Amino acid sequence: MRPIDAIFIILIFSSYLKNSKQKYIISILPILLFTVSLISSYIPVSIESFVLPIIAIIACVICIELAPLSLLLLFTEYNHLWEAIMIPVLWFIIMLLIKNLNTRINDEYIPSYIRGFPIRIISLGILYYVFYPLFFI
Amino acid sequence: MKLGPFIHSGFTTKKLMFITTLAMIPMIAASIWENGFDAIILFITSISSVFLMEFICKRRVVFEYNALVTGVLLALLLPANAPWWISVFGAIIAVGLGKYLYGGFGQNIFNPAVLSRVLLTVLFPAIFIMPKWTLDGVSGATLLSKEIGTTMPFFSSLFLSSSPGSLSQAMPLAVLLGGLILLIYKLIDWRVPLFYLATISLLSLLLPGSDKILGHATYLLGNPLLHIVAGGSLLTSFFLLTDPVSSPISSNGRVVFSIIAGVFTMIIRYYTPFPDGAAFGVLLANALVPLIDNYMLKLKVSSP
Repeated sequence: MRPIDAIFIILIFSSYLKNSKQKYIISILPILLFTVSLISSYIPVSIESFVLPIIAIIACVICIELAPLSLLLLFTEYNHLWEAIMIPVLWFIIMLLIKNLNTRINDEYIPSYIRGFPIRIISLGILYYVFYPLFFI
Repeated sequence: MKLGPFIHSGFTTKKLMFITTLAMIPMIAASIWENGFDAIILFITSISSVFLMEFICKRRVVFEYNALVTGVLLALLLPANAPWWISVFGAIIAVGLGKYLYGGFGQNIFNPAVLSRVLLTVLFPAIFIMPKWTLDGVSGATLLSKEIGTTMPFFSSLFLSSSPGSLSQAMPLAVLLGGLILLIYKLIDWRVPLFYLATISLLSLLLPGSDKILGHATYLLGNPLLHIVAGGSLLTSFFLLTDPVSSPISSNGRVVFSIIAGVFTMIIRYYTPFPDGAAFGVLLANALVPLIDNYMLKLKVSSP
C-alpha cells in the first residue's frame, strides 16, 4: 500500500472518531517505523522480529479505537524519510482543510441523498487527487 | 471586505459570464486555427455535453452563460488530440461532481472545469502526460513535458503559434488578449494574475532541478518566460484562479491564494513526472479558500 492511500483510508475511518488527541499519537507511527528501519542493523536479530509487534501492541493499547489504523500504518512501506514525514504532515494539512471545507459546504443546497457524510467523503476524494502528484516526488 | 451599504456595480452574473465568454473568443479562434477540425469537435462535444448534464441535473432546459463558460474552459484544458469521448467524461465530472453535488452554480468549492481536468489527467494519463506519438509525428505533450527533448523552443513561436499541449496553449497571445479584456472590464482582480505569474517566475529561477528534469528538458530550469508562456499558466492566471465562486473574498486573501497556487504549480512541474501542475495548484488553492477567508477575517477583526 502506498502512503497516500494509507492517509486517505485513515482519514475516512478517523472522521468517525471524536478523540482527536489519539489521532495525533497514531500519526507519529510512520516516523517511528522509519527510525526503527534505519537502526535495524544495530538491533540483535533475535530482538528484531519482536520490534514491529511490540510497536503494534503499544499503539493499539494507547488507542484501541484506532487499532486497525495503527496496523495499517505499520504495514505501509516507507522507502524514504520523506514518505514517513509526509504522512503526519499531510494528515494534519488535510484534516485542517476538511475542517474548513465543512464550514463552506452548505447542506441546504446539496441533494438530500449525499448530504452530510457522503459529501465530505467526496471532498476527501477530490483532495486525494490534489495531493496525488506529491507522492511521485 | 467592507461593511454595507453597498452600491451595485451594474455587473450581474449573466453579464459577467457573457463578457467572460467574449474574452474567450480569441482563444477559441486561435485553437481552431492551429488544430483545425479536432478542436472544433472538442468544443462542440464539450459544450453540448455540459448543457446536456445541466439539463439532466436540473431536469429543465435552461441556457446559462456559466454553463457555456464551463464547456469552453473544459475544451480549452484538453489536448488537441484527445478523443471526443474524453470531453463527455469531463462534462460529467465538471457538472455532476464539481457543480451539482455541491449544490449548483455559486455553491461549488472547486472550479468545475479544473476539477474535471485533474481527474481526467489521473484517470487517463496516456492522453495528458505521455507524449502520444502519431504517424504524422504530432505530439500531444506540452512543452513542459520532461521527455519532450533538450532543444529549447523559440519564444516567438511560443507566443504566436505551434505550442503543443492543450487547446488553450495554441496561441498564448490569444490568452493574454482575453485576459486583457477581463482586466479592462474590471471583471478580475489584477493581483491574481500578477502574483501567480510572479511566483512562478521567481520559483523557476530559485528552485533547484530534480532528476525529473535534469537529463530530459534542461531548458525548463531557470527559464521564467517559458514557465509563464508554456503550459497552462496564462489560462490559469486570467481565467481559472479568478473564478469569483471559488476564490477568496478579500483582496489580501486573493494574493495569498495566487501565491499558494503558484508554489504548488512549480513543485509539481519541477519534482514530479506530471508536466503541468497548474490545474493541481488551482484545486489546492480552491480547497484553501475557506481557511484563507477565515484567517483574513480574523486578521481584519484583530487589527486596530
